[in-house]
Amino acid sequence: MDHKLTKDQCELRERIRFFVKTEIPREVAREIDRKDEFPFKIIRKLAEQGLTAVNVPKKYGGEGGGEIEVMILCEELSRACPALTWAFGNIVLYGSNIIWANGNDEQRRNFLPRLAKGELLFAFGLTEPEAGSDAANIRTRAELKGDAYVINGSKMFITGGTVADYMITFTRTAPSRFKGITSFVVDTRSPGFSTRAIHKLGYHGSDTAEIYLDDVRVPPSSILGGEEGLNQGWVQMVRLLNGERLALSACAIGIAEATMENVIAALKEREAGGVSDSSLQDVKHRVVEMATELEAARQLAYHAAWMETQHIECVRETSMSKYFCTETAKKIAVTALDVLGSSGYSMECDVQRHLRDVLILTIGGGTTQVQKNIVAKTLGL
Amino acid sequence: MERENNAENAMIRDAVQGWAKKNCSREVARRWDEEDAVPGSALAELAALGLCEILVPEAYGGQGRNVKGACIVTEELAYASPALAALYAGSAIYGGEIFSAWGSDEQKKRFLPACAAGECMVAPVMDNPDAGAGNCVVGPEAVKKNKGFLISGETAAVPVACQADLFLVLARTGEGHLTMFCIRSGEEGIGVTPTECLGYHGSAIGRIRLDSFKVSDEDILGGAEAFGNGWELRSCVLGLLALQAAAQGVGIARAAFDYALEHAKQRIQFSQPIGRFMAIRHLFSRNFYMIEAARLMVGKAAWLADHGESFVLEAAMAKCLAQETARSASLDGLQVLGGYGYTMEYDAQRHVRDAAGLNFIGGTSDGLKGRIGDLLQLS
Repeated sequence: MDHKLTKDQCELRERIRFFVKTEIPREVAREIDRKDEFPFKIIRKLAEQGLTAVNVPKKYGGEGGGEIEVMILCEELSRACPALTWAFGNIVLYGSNIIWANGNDEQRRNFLPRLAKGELLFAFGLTEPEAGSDAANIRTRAELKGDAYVINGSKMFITGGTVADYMITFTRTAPSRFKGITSFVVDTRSPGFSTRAIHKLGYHGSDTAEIYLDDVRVPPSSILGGEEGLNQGWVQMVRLLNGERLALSACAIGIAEATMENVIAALKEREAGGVSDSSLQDVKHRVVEMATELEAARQLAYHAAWMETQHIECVRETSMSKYFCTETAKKIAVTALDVLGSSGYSMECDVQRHLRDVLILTIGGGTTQVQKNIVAKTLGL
Repeated sequence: MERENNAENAMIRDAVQGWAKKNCSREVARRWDEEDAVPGSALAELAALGLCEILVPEAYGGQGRNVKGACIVTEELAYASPALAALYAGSAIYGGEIFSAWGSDEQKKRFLPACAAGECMVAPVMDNPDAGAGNCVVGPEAVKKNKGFLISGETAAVPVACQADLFLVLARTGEGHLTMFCIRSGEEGIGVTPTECLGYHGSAIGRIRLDSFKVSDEDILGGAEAFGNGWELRSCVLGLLALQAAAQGVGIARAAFDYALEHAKQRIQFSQPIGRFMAIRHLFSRNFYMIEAARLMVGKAAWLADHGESFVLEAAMAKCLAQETARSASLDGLQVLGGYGYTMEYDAQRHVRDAAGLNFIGGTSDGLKGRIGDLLQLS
């Protein structure tokens, strides 16, 4: 077992840290949270640094990285501004990752070079009002009429829904629960495609929307993977899950690291202010518990990622990681706010934002309960 | 044992529930949260129902002391809107209880009738809640000057500060020596800065700054002879604040619980209501027994108070449990609502934000655990 980062990966981390330090100081992150506007400018700068190309194969103009590189990016960006990670995810995860894993040659040639340059945003249109944890319950239909598929239905909680250029749209094309799902690459400018922005507790700046599809016509060639992709949507989706769970694990780790920094700084200030060492013992011990669990979470996540890059079966490990990292980050944010007392409750304090941000991570990308169901299955239960 | 102990308190609960149903629906509470303001008319209506008389002796226009009843009102208001509950506590509870027990005759005459009428919002300004277990850090210092004092200093965030008519300020009056002063708001030398908070929107949380604020000996709570009894007062007032916050916590927990329960019964996934899944059911079961326990602890502390006994230890314990319960019920509630719970269109997120206010309202868990330890003579 060896999941130490390579020299290139360490350099990548340094590159992102430098980027974060220069481009996303605390005021910028706070401004993004306050305004709740999609951070096009910073995404552009990320692209200029070549960071949107991180997981695109070299032959399509990318850097050829994989899950670990994406995690490093998610972790480092989340420390400063988690919302950026999701905006970034509209390129790297929902764009490059999906097209590379499931697209046909034409789609790869068409989209990957532009995704590498950060010129396109993709949304992932799976969830529906009645299909959350029960994702296979989707009702959005695509029917072949003449030479085109006509899509009708709606999608819920779609990250990047109002800003994306394309939405990977999961539709029902046959009655079979799992084998009757087809995903299309739908141009969001298509007639009949409309959106409604949804305001969230946290992750301000990351766009979330409800999507309505009214007689949206798309050619068969827009099926993800080409016409052979018909009714392959579920299998295609499952292929992406390890990567998504790992990216979300990294987001949680990044937020928790920021929370730890905040709470440790605040305690140092208390000590400097003359609060006696003995009266802080219980608080210090709680901080130690937080730090220990965070370290365990980090090791689990990067170990699972290493397995994935080695093509070792790791559904159990990535699900464990998604569950454990996000729940740990939530616990850390909750404990930190408790320790900080009245100062933590003020909007001046970043930890309240950490809590607001982290609360979606135990829900999105498969809830904690869903991850536990998956792990239980892998344990033969 | 009948839950409310007597018919009067059962009527009080019914009256507040009835009022809240009509005047503080979920939509209304959501609007107050968004606007970060609770209209004064809400408090005026509660006063008109006689709910501000609940801790004021009959001689001063009240109904006589009923701490249990006051906790019931607070819990029910917090169920609808924690911010309103906080304002109610400021308007009806702190003044009524503290002046009845500790005020001089002159202060009783001056303030209690106003408290009974809901016309005197009182904000107790205690030591810094963030100082940690066993520490008492008091910002304001009162320096003797002629026939009075000059008070200067700053405080941490205090609920209802921005709407208070009267502050009860704990100040240092010598080495290890504390005194509590009655200070009118809006006068020269006192400033209140609103604190923008994660939740409890509309509860007028703010920081207080005193600059050589001039008070006379008669402004000492209990009059000139009460100079220096701040430690005793601190213990009792912190007990009262903890009890109030505990009642608020029970209300927040119940609101979060009921909201999520409705969803769990209606939301169908995998062809069944999600509440049928054991992982979800057990979340509810746990929160349900925690709520019951917290409520009983609030009831016990209030019962002790109503029977003239010390309730400081019980209030601290009740607050700790109620805080944990509100936190757990609200976080689980948001998780049960899933993506919907994370949107601003649903109340689950507000329950989480409000529950987090109990991290300091009524004392931090560190401070309270410290005091429980003191009362167990572990210091």
